Amino acid sequence: MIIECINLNKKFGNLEVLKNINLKINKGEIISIIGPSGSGKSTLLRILANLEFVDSGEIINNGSIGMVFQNYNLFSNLSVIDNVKIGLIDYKKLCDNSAEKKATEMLCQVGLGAKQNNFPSQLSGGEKQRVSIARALAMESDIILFDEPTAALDPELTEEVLLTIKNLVKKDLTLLVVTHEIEFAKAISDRIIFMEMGEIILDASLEEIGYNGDDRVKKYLKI
Amino acid sequence: MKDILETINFMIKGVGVTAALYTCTILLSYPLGVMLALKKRTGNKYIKKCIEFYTWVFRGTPLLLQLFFVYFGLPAIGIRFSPFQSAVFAFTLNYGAYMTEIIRGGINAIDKGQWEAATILNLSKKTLYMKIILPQGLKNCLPSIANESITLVKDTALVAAIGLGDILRVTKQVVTRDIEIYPFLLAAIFYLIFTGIVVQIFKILEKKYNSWS
Repeated sequence: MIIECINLNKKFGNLEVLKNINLKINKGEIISIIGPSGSGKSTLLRILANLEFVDSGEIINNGSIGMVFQNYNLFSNLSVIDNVKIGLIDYKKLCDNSAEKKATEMLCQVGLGAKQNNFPSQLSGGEKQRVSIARALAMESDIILFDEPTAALDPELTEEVLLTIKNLVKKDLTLLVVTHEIEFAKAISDRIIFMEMGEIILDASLEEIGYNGDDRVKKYLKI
Repeated sequence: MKDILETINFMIKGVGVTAALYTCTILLSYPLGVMLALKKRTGNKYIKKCIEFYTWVFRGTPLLLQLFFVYFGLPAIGIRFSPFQSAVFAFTLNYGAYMTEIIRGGINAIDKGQWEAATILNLSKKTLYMKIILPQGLKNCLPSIANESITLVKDTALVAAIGLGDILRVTKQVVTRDIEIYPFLLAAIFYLIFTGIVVQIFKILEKKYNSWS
């Protein structure tokens, strides 16, 4: 088990954004979190990533966490390759040569080997998101969180990013993906978590949902 | 013509003094501003209050008063500086205060996502500030820094009031001696060349920083 959440609660002012969240994530699982906007999906992810704090509850974390943001959050003053290298050198303590090699390998994996020396501002949204994925991959975290990775992209760019993530699924990684791309979620996930009004309404495999999920969730998932 | 050349020759000494004061002030006050801007972000509340008090005092009182305080005031309590040292001291504290606030503003304008990405990558504070925050923050406030740097050229003329032989003071000496008007025009030309160089340097810097945006 990489992460366990026990009774998490979070309020923004008077608004309860997370209510009694219980969740276990095991190594190698691909989990999608779906649900309407404002249901607390991104907040949950940001709490797991230590970018927000819970009001009550406990998080047991046995691994390192990587994250891919909706708005990419690439370092705008660094070239593509330096964006990938910076964590390898500073945190992973790789020497410059090894970091360069590793970063190049990761960028080639997401199909951006040729754009290493560009700055983020010279890339399309889809390319930026693929760099961001390469940056997260390079850190070899135990789990990578994806916070609506295609929400800021045009439809034609969405596909290239989804394809990049689909390719990761084969690599025995642990992924937790918040997304509105239902078909994508169905295609990659071992488990689907449906959230609404700050609560986990359902946490099951697609098969289980097909058998005994409630009709509303089925309708949402188009099954 | 010979007179004019002689006058220029005499005034060059003043240019040297102005340039030396300008360089010393930039080299001391800008790093001071960067340091205090960072401290104002990361320090405890007492440090923050102290920095706030400092910027309030030095931005809120005339530079000439600060200069007089250091040169004429401090000797009353036994602290003596030469005119040049007094000028560097007062100018550094004054411009350091402005730079602190300018750079703080530049850092605050950095997108929250940049900090979050650094948190996720577990970047050390040093790498975060040296590689990400300072370059981006300085880029954000480059136009303001350029303005300050131009203002400083002209502010150096205040030191004529404590007897330091800068451009303005040597000019006035020539005018008093020869009863001529053209030395003032020469002084204006010196200042314009000086600010022109500063403007060009910042144009180059802006171009360099714009390569990534």
